[in-house]
Amino acid sequence: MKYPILTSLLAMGLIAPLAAEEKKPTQAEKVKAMAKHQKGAEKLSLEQDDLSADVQELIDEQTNPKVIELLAKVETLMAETVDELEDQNTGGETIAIQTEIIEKIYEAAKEKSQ
Amino acid sequence: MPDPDPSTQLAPIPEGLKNQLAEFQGQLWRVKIIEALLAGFFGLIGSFLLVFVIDRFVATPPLARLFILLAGTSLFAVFAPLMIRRWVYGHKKEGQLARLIAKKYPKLGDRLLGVVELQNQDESQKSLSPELREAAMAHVARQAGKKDMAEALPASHYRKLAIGVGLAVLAVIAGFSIAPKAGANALKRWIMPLSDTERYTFTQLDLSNLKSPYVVPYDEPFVIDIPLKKNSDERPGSAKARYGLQDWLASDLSEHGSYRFEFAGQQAKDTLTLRAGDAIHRVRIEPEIRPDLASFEARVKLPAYLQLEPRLFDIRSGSLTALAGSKVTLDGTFSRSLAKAVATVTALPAETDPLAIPSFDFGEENELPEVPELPEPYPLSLNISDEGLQSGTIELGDHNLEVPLFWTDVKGLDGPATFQLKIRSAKDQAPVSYLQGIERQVAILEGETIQFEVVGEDDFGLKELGLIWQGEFKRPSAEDPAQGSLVLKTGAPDVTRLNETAIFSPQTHGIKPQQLALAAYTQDYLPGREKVISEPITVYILTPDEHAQLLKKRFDRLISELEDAARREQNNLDINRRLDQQNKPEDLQKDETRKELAEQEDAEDQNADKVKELAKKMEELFKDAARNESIDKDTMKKMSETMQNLKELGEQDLPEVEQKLQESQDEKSTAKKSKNDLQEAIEKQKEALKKMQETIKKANDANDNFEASTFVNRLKRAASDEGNISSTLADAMQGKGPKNKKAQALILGTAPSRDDIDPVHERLFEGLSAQQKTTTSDIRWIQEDLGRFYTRTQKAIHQELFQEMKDSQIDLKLEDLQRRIDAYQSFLSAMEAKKRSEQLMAWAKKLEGDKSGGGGGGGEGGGGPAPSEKDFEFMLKVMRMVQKEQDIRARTRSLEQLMRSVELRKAAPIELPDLK
Repeated sequence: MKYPILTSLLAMGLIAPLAAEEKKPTQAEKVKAMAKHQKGAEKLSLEQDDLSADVQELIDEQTNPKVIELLAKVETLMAETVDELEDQNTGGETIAIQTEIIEKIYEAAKEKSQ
Repeated sequence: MPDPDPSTQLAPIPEGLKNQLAEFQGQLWRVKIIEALLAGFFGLIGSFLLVFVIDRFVATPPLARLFILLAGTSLFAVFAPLMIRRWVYGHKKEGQLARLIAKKYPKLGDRLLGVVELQNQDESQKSLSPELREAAMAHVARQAGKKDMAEALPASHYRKLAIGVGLAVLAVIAGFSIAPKAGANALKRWIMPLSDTERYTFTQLDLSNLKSPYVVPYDEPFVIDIPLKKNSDERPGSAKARYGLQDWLASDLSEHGSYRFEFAGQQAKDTLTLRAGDAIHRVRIEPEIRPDLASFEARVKLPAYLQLEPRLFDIRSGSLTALAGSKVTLDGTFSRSLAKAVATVTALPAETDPLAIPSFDFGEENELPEVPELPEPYPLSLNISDEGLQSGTIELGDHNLEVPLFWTDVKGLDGPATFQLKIRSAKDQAPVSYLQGIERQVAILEGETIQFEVVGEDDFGLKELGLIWQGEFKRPSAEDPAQGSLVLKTGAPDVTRLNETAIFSPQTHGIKPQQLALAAYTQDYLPGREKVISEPITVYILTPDEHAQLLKKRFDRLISELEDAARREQNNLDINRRLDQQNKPEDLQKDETRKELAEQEDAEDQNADKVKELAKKMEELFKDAARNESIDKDTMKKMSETMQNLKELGEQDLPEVEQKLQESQDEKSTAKKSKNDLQEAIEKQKEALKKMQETIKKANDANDNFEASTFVNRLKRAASDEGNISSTLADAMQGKGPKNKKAQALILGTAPSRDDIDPVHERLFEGLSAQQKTTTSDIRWIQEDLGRFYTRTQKAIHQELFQEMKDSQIDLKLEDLQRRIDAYQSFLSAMEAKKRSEQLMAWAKKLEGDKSGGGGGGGEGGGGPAPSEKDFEFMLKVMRMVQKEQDIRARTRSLEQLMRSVELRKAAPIELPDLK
């Protein structure tokens, strides 16, 4: 059989309900999607907060002031991200901050290796 | 009465003389009038006859006919009156007559003239005697009386003229009698010389189809078919024709009564001369290029559901493919204005696959497939104007159509050929969608994100592009498998391709570890067509321990490949050493030896490439391992060292050996230098091999640690499986499942019989039994692996755990549990599974605790890890931190995509419920 998984999808009745689906989503579907977004953002904010705590631990272990400074900046940025995610802001601004966090962590690692 | 005065007395001409002169005058007048009339008639008849005769040979030109007519009539209209004037009016008096007589009889004429003068003599002025005058006149009268005056008449031609006229009349009568049509035609042409009356010929050709100028196709052979008229008096057996001054072509009269001339292609304009009997015709021939299509376009109005503007297609190729249900109009321009165009729309039968093997089953039950009836051909309405040609509307159904178009231009030339337009009726193809930039099977952790391209394509327009997934638990679970969809992009009627980068995070969509079929879907605008789903990929969403096991398998394979590389390197080294031992320096410069060295260089190059590839794989493995927090830092460190060594070997150590082997073959080198190069290569190769072996050892150590850590994971997974069995049974007892009180009561009570249990519960127990069987088998393997692992590593913790498992008879207890599940003992099974789960988890913690606490062994003096270890620990933490942050960022993107998906659907503003 060419597409066994596709066949299984058919067998599971996944395709049929989709095909029968109306072009516009139902109100329940919209609520579900919005709720999923809200819940996901909250979960991410918690994970971001946890990661921020890990950064704090890492700062405590460091002696190099430059590394400490960079990691402190990372922590600040992470706090900022947590706020954004708590506000369910998952747009470009938040992603930009997260990108900066990654850059700063790399910078700290580079500084440490020198 | 008084006597008249003699001086005034006139002397009249004697009566006899007078009568004689009167008679002469009468004769003169009669003859000359007759002559004038005969000459006039002769002129008229003669000119007619001239035209008649000339016309029998050639068509007398109009001007010539005019001249002939004028000449003929002038005899009658001009010459005759002049003649009458001269002879009648010019000879009214006696003196005039006397002068005419004098021409014949000069003496008598003079005397007569004297008499005429005496007659008018004035006596008062002339002293003549009247008596003498009378005597003289009488004398002259006597002399004249002796003469025959008729002989003094001028020469007369009226007889000849009469004969001429008579002959002419006879000729005319004969002409009219023999050829009345020719006579009538000549008369008409004679009377009306400037009229366009055709010359009558006995051979009558029908030239109605040969109008001058006659246009023929440029440089193409052409045929002229000239029929004889039915009323032709003559039917010559052959005719001839020629183009310009070219050779004559002859043609016999055909059965159909026509002459057929086939001319070669002509480029220059010229005159065609035709001769048939007495008929001669000249026709101007103008070779012209045939009227061709300058442009031909089809305007296709697509079916309304597509919401697209009409499309124009260039159809000069004679082929058009349009969607069934479209309305097609044709618009063409030509190199010359058209006079006529004809087109017919004919439906064609459906095309069959020539490669298809026909089935000839004529059984009673199998009838021949019914061939759909084709619509009748119909003429296509065409509107010809100066701008070109516009057709009426062609309604394109399911059949292909053929529209042969034929046209003739204003010069009577047909098009180069009948234009065959084929219109292929196409169906609105279903859209396609696919995923790209991702493997067909992907294994990720729950918190990971995958990114790939989703593409949808259609022949006309796409309405929507999205993702769809369907999960499947590989072990029994009380939860529902994941199922969902996500709109990635909305399209438009004219958008035939949609693509979007999808960022898919299981966590974003609340998808627990399971096997997921993930596919793209898309939809076009065809009413009633369902969404089209792409071939799906399989995403294995793994728990950390499943992930660790997967990594372990990859690591095993990698080590195996590394060992192969080391074996190859050893072989290479052996051969190099053999070359060194068996060859003196000068032998190394022999072609045969150089060839062997070159082969060794190639072998070294291949091995270096393989090692580089392994380094890359190791890097990938290390990155994936860094994601999994269940893998300890010692393992990660050893993996890191393995990775570093592989990089050095592939990029530096082995290429150096290769370089030295290359130098040893250098023709410019001395024998000694070659020998030294080979020996250096061998030394470097020995070092590289040693490094490879060390790397293998480190990799094996890391793998051992990996295995050890996976004992934890495997125990945890077994614990999780047991916990899952317990919770699934608890859910079932709490009423999740069939809403049937009897079924509920049965599962809560003592073990129901197979006949009584609800089918849903029956399936659940069967699934759990299978799961329990797998877990029991896993535990047996863990126990066996622990024993072997201890034998190899001699670590106390593994021995201790192995003994505990053995003493607890966990395997037998799990078998008992399976039997209880098989007996539908829900409560007891749930309790037992929970207990076993806790026990397995305790063992996992014990092993984990040993790993985390005993990394440095006992008795360390408080110095902590060495600086390099601290650095590695820092780097590992940073690396994991970066990966976590990357995961968070990717999931943030995924959430944003989810949010946009809702917005894409243009949902009405909704109020979110307070999920908190």
